[in-house]
Amino acid sequence: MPDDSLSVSVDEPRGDTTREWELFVRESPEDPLTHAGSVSAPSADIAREQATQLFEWTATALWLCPADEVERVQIEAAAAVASAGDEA
Amino acid sequence: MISVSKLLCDLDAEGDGLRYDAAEQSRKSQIRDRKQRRPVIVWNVTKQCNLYCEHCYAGAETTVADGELSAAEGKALLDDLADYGVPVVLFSGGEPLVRNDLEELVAYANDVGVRPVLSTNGTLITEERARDLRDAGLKYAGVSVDGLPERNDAFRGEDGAFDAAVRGIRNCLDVGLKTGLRYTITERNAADLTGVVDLLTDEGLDRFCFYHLDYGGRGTEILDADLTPEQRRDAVETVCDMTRRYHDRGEEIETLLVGNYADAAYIVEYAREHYGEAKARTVYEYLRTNGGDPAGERVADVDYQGNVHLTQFWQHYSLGNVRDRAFGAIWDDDSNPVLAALRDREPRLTGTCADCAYSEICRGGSRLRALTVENDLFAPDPQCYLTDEEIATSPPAPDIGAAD
Repeated sequence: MPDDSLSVSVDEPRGDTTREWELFVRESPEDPLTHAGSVSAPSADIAREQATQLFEWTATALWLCPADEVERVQIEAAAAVASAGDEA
Repeated sequence: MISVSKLLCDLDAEGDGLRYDAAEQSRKSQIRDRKQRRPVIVWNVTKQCNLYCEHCYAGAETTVADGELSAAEGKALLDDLADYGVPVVLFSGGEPLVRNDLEELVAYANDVGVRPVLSTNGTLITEERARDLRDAGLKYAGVSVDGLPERNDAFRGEDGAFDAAVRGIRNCLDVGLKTGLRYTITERNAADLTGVVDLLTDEGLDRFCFYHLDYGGRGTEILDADLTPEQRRDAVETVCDMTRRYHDRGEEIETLLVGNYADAAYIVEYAREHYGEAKARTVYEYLRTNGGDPAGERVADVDYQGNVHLTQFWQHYSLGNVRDRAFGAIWDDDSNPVLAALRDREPRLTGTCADCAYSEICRGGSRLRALTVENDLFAPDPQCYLTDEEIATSPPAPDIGAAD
């Protein structure tokens, strides 16, 4: 039986020599912030610049946070690749 | 990817079903059905490489990077891709042959029904590894060579890299593995283009893919080596002329242009000039079916850590990670504004693209280059080399059954 509790921890890095920044976008003031991927950048300023380039045509707000500061947990069925990593 | 040999010389190839929905017209076995609607996946299985090339889009290093997908994770990814209906996985890097489990992963892809192909610098392909890859089910090896020996070795940062790549090509051909050339055209090596084709044709190679420089990874550090519009036009004309010359003397080489869909418009114009309006119309229809620049639709990239990218060159932006979410869930998530906009880009294109006669078969070309140079996702591709007259021309009229 697959485990449907939030028990699978995903702690592999998302960046290497360059830090990865999770990116959240709000398209109109009524919308929720939505995760819209991540950018690779050595600093918050450059991450902001890159995110702005990509989303300024549609965003009313951008939030960025370092991927290595994000705790990622999920149910077992969410991604078979992460579960395979746990088994390896 | 635009097949010059198909469009101008009617050469059949296995990928025509994917590129032009032309499986019915082909005598070659074809990649068909729902898989045609799913992206080809470039999987950078490692960031590690034994060379240090000037234009490496992956920014490859000589050491192993943290967080590389393990063999078990890689197999789970391949299961995921197979379930989603992905037709082809291109094993890339870094240099994929530095992974000693490459053959295991290739065999697994083949077993689950995803056609395994390879992009490599060729220098590590011994006869034994060529045989092992063939036995694992590898369908094609694309070997990167970027000029005649001196220029290639300078580009790749190692003396002897050209000779080592040619040895790798020979080893592939000797064991019966379909093999081709990958050549990124820049100002520094454009003059070597025909010489390399002549030399490698003598080795038995019959497939040549010419890439335009994309502005990702270390490619952004050599923008000064990119071709001018006039040089680019000359290079593409050289590829077209060379292809016809080979075919005219009965040597059916396959030639492809990759990474700049201004080429689509150019080839229609070339067909019109050299073959007439009816041929130009046929070429245009193939290219309309092909659908123009594929970013966000017909190609995707999964990097060595499982990050999903819009193309293999667009490494500094990721849509998500396959350790967090299945590939199909990431790729189908149109709540991402960039992904949704790339799939419905025509009304957003600005500048010359907005009124271009060929926007239907080009779709604005590379959005990554526009972003890199113009800071604008919807600006014209800075590599566009079409003339004002071509942009304002009338594309070939659709065939409505009237006699030519």
